[in-house]
Amino acid sequence: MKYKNMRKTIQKTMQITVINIFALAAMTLSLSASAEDGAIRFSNKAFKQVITKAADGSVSVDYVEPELVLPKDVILYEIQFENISDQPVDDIVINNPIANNSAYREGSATDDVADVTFSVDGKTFAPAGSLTVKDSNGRTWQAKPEDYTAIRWTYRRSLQPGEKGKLSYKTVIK
Amino acid sequence: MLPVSDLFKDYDYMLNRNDNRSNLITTTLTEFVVVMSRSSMFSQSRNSLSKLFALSLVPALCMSGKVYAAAGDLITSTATIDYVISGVPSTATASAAFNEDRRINFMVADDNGGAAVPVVSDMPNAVMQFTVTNLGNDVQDFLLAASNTAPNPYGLPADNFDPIPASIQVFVESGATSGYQPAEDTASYIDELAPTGSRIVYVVADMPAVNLDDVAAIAFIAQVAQGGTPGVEGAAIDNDDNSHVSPAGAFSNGGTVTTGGIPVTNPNTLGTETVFNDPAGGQPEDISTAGVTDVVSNGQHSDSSAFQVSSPVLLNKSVTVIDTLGGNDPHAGATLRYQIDVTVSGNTPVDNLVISDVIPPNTTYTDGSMQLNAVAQTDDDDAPGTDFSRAIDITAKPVTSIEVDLSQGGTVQVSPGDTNTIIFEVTID
Repeated sequence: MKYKNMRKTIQKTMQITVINIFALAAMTLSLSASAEDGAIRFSNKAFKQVITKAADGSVSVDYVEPELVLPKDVILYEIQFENISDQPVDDIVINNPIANNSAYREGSATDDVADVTFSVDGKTFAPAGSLTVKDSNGRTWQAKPEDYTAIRWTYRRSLQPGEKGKLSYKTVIK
Repeated sequence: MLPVSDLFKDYDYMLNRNDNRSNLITTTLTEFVVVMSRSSMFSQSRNSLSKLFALSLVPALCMSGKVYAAAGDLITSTATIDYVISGVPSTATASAAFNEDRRINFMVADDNGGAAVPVVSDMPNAVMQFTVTNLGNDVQDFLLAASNTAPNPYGLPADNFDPIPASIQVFVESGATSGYQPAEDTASYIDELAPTGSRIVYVVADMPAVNLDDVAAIAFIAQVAQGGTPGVEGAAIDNDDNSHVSPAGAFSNGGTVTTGGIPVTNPNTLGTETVFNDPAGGQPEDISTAGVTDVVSNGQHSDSSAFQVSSPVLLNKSVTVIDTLGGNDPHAGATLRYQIDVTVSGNTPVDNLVISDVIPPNTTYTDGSMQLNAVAQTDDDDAPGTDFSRAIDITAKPVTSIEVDLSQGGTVQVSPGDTNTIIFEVTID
């Protein structure tokens, strides 16, 4: 299928190396909401990326609570879902519009467990690279990552009882 | 069903402008409509959907793409999961939210063409120019001060004099007429400078009696202050929420005050914090109002420029060829008519102004050809008799130079705006 071929070409695995979580309890209360009424426990958390260069030249990347967030800062969003029912869950699709004041960071959406597509209008979704936008003169251009308005993940398998899934992507604050 | 995209557009805008409760509620309802439209095949009741949305603290806001990125904006990302369990479609949402904080960043740059501002000895109200550009993400006021500094930011000669004490003033361009207008440009602080906006500021000072080429270097400092209230001088922001302090304080024209802030660290995910992000001074010698080097992230930025004494008299010399056939071919015997226009710049009259010019080689002065402002001048050294001009030496030829005493023996000042035109003729040998 054409779609699957496309998926292979865009497949990249993003490794999140270090996650520092400050004030985890407060954040869970105030920042993220998880829905537990249904079969899925669903959460969405935001972290600020902090890159520190040590004296020996080594670079470490930390993800901290988004306390001081300024233009050009990079935000990591981590979406988790867990099947808390005793039945398998099928046809999982996760939609996430890009937040206000934010631009999608190219290549940051994980696609290790789900097929990822993007949209520039919130209606039509396609793999990165096959979306187009029109400029004010009516000319058509390939959409840039900052043109994306939404991300959609289509989970490839059934989620078994007790099984968890995790997705992430990054944005840059305008 | 309501047109969903239009709803988003309006409420997105409203919420970004006003984070008040009623808008939050309204927008939540909007999202409710949207999800219903997208998953209308779902069998769930409106009530259960509402319950799910009640879990999401802040509604999603980004469908329209219309953004208003500014300090204080609540940035919200809402993910929605759709799934099927035992053949029954279901959905859930989760949001993450934080505030965009106030980035304080601004740039002061001297705006005098990359060279010292020419001034004249004893000149009152000499003007130099700077620009202040807001590179942050919020509207700010800026308090302004200028003071003596050294060395000369343009290199040599070294700074060797100061403007008259207490004469240094700072005024903001009003925008009505470009260039410093004392009647219009009266504001001493920058009011409500929006992100990416810039404003021209004038430093005005009186010069003492100084010599040609003397230099007075000036540092100009802008201090960030609270914006948001048009027409009101905001208080200096003397610390941020990220452990940085500013040597801020109350400012007035020419004044320097050294009260500093107290370090505070105040991270807060859902509050709007202030972060100083301003660069170090534009020149190594720039100083903050605390008398120390303008370092990064201190809520101040500075640059320096200099006044340099130059001659206030401008001479513009031109030549016209009048040949013997009535044309303009400079052959032997042709006449060269020289014209010297004399003007005075600045705003101070000049004393003892005498203009002299050498007769070029291979030419001969035409006796009696000198004119001042279209009035014929005598060649004789007869001042203060007939006039104050002479050809040197008309009594022992050849004539080697001409001289016109515009001060009429030291009795007349030549003022800015006065025009004097001197004409004399020679013939080509």
